[in-house]
Amino acid sequence: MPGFHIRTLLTTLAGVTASISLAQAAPDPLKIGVLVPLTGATAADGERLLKAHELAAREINAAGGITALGGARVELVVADTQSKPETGRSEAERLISRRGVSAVLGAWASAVTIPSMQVAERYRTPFIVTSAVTDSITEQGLQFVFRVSPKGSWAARDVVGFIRYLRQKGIAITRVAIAYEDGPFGQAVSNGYKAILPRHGIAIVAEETFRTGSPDLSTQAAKLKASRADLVLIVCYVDDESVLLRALTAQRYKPLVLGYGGGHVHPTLLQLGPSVEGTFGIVEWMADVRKPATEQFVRAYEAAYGTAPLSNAAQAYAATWAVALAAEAAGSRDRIKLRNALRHLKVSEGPASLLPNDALAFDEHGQNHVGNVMSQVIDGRFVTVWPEAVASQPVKLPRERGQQASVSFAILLQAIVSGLANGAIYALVAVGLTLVFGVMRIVNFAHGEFLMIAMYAGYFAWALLGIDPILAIALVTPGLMLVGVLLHGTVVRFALDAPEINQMAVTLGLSLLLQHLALVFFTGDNLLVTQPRSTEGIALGPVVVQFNHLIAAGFSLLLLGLLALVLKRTDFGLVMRAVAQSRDGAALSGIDIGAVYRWAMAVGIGTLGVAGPLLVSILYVNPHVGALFTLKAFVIVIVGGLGSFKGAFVGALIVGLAESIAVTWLSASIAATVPFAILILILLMKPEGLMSLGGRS
Amino acid sequence: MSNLRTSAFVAALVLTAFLAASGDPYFMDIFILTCFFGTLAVCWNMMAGLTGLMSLGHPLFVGIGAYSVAWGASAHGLPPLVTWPLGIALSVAAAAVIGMLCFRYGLRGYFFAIATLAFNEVAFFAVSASVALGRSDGIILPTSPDDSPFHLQFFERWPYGLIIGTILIGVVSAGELLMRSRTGYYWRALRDNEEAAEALGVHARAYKLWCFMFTAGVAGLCGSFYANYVAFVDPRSVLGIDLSVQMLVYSIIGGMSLLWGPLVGAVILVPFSVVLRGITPIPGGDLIVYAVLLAVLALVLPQGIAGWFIARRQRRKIRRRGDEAPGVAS
Repeated sequence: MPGFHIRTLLTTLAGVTASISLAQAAPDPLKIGVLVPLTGATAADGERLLKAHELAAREINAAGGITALGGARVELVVADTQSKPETGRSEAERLISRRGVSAVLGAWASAVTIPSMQVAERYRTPFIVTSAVTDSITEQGLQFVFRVSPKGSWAARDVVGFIRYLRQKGIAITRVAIAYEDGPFGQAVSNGYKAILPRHGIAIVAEETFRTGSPDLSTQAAKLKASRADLVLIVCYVDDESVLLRALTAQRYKPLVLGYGGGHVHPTLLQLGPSVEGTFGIVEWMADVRKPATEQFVRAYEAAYGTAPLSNAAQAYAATWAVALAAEAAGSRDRIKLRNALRHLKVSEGPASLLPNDALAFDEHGQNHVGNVMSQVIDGRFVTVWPEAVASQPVKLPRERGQQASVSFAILLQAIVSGLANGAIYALVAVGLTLVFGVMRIVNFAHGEFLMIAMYAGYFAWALLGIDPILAIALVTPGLMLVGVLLHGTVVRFALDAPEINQMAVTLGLSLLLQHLALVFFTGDNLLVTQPRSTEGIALGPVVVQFNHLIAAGFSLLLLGLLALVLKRTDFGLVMRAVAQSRDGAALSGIDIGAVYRWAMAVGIGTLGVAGPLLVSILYVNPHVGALFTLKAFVIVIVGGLGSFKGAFVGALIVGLAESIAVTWLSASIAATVPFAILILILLMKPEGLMSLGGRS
Repeated sequence: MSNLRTSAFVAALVLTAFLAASGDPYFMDIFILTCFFGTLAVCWNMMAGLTGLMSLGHPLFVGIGAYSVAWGASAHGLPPLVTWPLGIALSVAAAAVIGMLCFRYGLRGYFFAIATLAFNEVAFFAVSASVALGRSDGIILPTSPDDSPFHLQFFERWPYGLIIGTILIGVVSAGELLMRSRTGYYWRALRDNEEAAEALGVHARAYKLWCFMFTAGVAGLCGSFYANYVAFVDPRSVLGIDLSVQMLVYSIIGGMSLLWGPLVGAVILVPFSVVLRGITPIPGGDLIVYAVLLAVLALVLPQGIAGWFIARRQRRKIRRRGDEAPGVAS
C-alpha cells in the first residue's frame, strides 16, 4: 500500500509543479525558498516575516527583476514549518530538492532553523538565517549558512555599552538583576548576559525565571524588588512581559527596565501605559533608525499592510534583497556561485542596508556584523535612543528613584499569597472539567480550548463594546452554556459509549480543530485587556496582591460555593449526583439521562464563561492559551479527586501553592515539575484523589 | 513461515515503497517519516490496542533514546554502536521503574494514561533545565562534511530509509511472533478482562510490565534513529506531548485491534499531511482536516480503517460460504 500512495503523491506533486512552471513566462524566475512558521505557537511572527519577504520580492520585481539573469523575476516559494523542527527540516528538503530553489531564507526560532539549515548545507544550497539568535549557528564552520541577525550573546555586549553610556550621563547603575523566560529564547540570551556582564564589572544580584504563560509573576516581582536592583534585564516574549511589568508596577517597584528583542518593542506592550513608560528595549532594528533605507522600507511596508514593521521584518526584508543582489552579482542561479557571491557581498546603500550597521556583509563564518539598538518608550511611543549615530531622539533620563527594600520573609509570604490567588484561578478552570467527568465519565481534552473561546469573547466584549470583563461574565456565560449544549448534541452524545481511547481521540481532535480555527480567524497575536485596575495592587502588610487576581479569586470562591449549593440542596443537584453515582440506577428510577448530560455539559462549559473574561484581564489571549490550562486542570482534578468539587478546589490550591513556593528557590523549569511530581505521588498513594468519596473508574 | 504472513506482506510493501522512493530524496524523506511514525504507532498500539494500556508517556522513551545518542555524540564522541544500545537499555530500565510503580498500585485507563503523562512532563521540564543536555536549546549533533557510516552520517537519504525500514519490518515481525505466542494471548486476555485473566492464572502485573518494557525499548530505538537522522534534538520535538498525540491518531484512524492497523494510519496520514501542507493556502489547513478526520473517524469508524476492512472481508467470506453464522464481531 505505501508504494501505491507514494506513486499517487508523485503524480499529484509533479502535476502541481508542472502547472506552476507553465504559468510562468520566460525567463525562468529566481526561486527563493522561505521557511516561516504559519501555524503553531509562533504563527504571528511567521506572518509578519512573510509580509516583509513578499514586500521585498515585489519591489525587486517592480524594479525589473534580476538584470543579470535577463530580468528574471523573484519567486518566493513559501513553506510552513509549523514551528516544529522536523517539519522545518522536511520542508527545507522539499523546497530544495523538489521546488529547485536557489536559496532558502528562514526559519524564525533557532530550534527550527538549526535542522533546516543543516539540510541546506548538505545540499550545498545557501541558507540565510533571518532571525534565530543561538550563537552556535555561525560557529560550526558551515559553508552555506549566512545570518543577517546578530548573535544572541552580542546583546550582552551592547547592554554593557549602553550601561556605560548611561553611567556617563550620571545615572548610577550598580546592581543589575535578570528575569527571563525559562525556555530556549530566555536561556540563550540570559546565558550571554551572565557570561559577559560580570567580566565588565557589572554585578548580577538576582536571577529570576518563569515559564511562559504563568498568570501571576508577583513572587518574581517581589524577589526582584528585594534584590534592590537598579536595572532589571528582562528576556521573554511580549505576552509574559506584560504580565511581569504589571506585577512590578503592582509591587510599586520602579527600577530601570531593559527588555530584549522584538517582544519588547511590540505594540501590545504600549497598551500598558504608565507601567511601560520610560522602559528600554534592546532590539536588532527599529522603524525610526536614522537611515535612508529604513525610512523607505517603513513607508512601503505601512502602505502595503497598514501597520508598522517590527525588527524581524527588517531582517527578512534585508535577507531577501541580499539573495537578489547576490544573484545579480553572480549572474547565475547556480547555488555554489550564489554562495560565493554572498560571501563577497557588501551593501552599504540601497534597500538591503537598512540594518543598523555600516554595510550588510558576511564574514568567513557567514555572520553579519551588526549590533543592536536601544529603544525607549517616550510618550507612549517606541523611539531609538542609542547608539547616537542612528538614534532619532536623545535618551530620556529617569528621575532619581528612591528604592525601599522589602524584607526577605515577605517573599515567602508573597509566594503563599500569590500561590493561593493562582490556585483559586486554576480552580475556576478545573471545576468544569471535574463536573463533566463526574457526571459523564468523559475527560474533555478540549476543555482549555473552550476557555480560549470564552477569553476571546471576554476580550471582544471589552474591545468592541466597551464592557468591563466583570460585566461581560453575564454575557459570556449563557453563550458558553449554549456551546456546551451544542457540544453535547453534536459530538459528546455519540462518544459516550465509545471506548475511553476513542473519547480521548474525539476531544483531542476537537481541541486541535478549535485551536487552528482560532488561528485562522484571530491570527496568532496576543490580545490584552488593559484597564486602570490591571496594574493596581493591594498591599496587605508587606505583601501585594494584584487587584484583578483578587477579583478572580473572589469569583472563583463564589462560583464554587454556588455550584456546591446547587448540587447539595436542589433537586437538580440530586439528579446530577444520582447519575454520577450510577447511570443505570438513575435511568431505572426514571431520570432522563440525556437531559442530565445536556445540563452537565452546559454547566461544565458554562463555568468557563466565568473564568474566561476574568482570566483575559489578568493574562492575554491567543489561540494556544487554552492548552496551557488543560494540562494544569488535569493535574488539579486528579490530585483533588476526579468528579469532586471540593477536590478541584483543594487540588487547585495545592498546585498553585506548590508552583509558587517552588519558584522562590528553584529555576522555573524545575519548579514546573513539582505539580507533576505531586500528581505521581497522589496517583500512587491515593489514586482516587484527596477528596474523592467513591472508588476509581 | 505461515505464522509470519503479515510481516512478509509488510516487508514486501516496505521494500516496494523504498525502491519507489529511492531515486528522490524528497520522497525518501516522506518514506522515512512514515516508517518512523509507523513503527512508533505500531509499538504504542501493542500497549493500547492489544494489551489495553493507554500510555501518554511514550515520548519519554523516544526522548531517552534520542538524548542518549545526542549526548553521547556531542559530549564524548561516542558512535551509534555504543549509544543506540545505551538508549534502548535506559528506555527499558525507565519503563521497568515506571511500570512497576504504576502496576503495583493498579493504575488503569485514564489513570495510567495521566500517570505516564506526568512522568513524561517531569522529564520534559527536567531536561529543559539540565545544562548538560543543552536545556531548552537542545543538542546539535556534530556533523562532518563527508559521509561517515560509523557515525551514521550520510549525505544521501536512502541509507536512513534502509535503517528505519528494517526497524519497521523487525518490529512488525517481533510483534507478530509475540501475538501468536502465549504472551500475545495473555496480553489480549488482559485487555479484554483483567480480572478474568488473573483468575485463570495470568500474572497480570508481570505481563503488563513486559509489554511496557518491550514497547519502551522500541520507542528508544526509534528515538536513537531520530537523533542520527535529524542531527538535532530538543525537548519539544522528542519529549513533547505532540508525539503522543501522533501515535494515538495513527492508531485510532488505522485501527487498534490489529497489529498492523496503526501502520495503515501512518501510511495514509503522514504523506497526506505533507502533501496537504504543500498545496493548501490556509496556514494549518492540513491540521484542520486532520482534526476533523480524527474526531469523525473515532466516532463513525471506531474499529479504524484496517478493522473496518478486515471485518468487511470476513463478512463477505461468510456470505459467500452461505454460512449461517449470526454475523461476526468486529
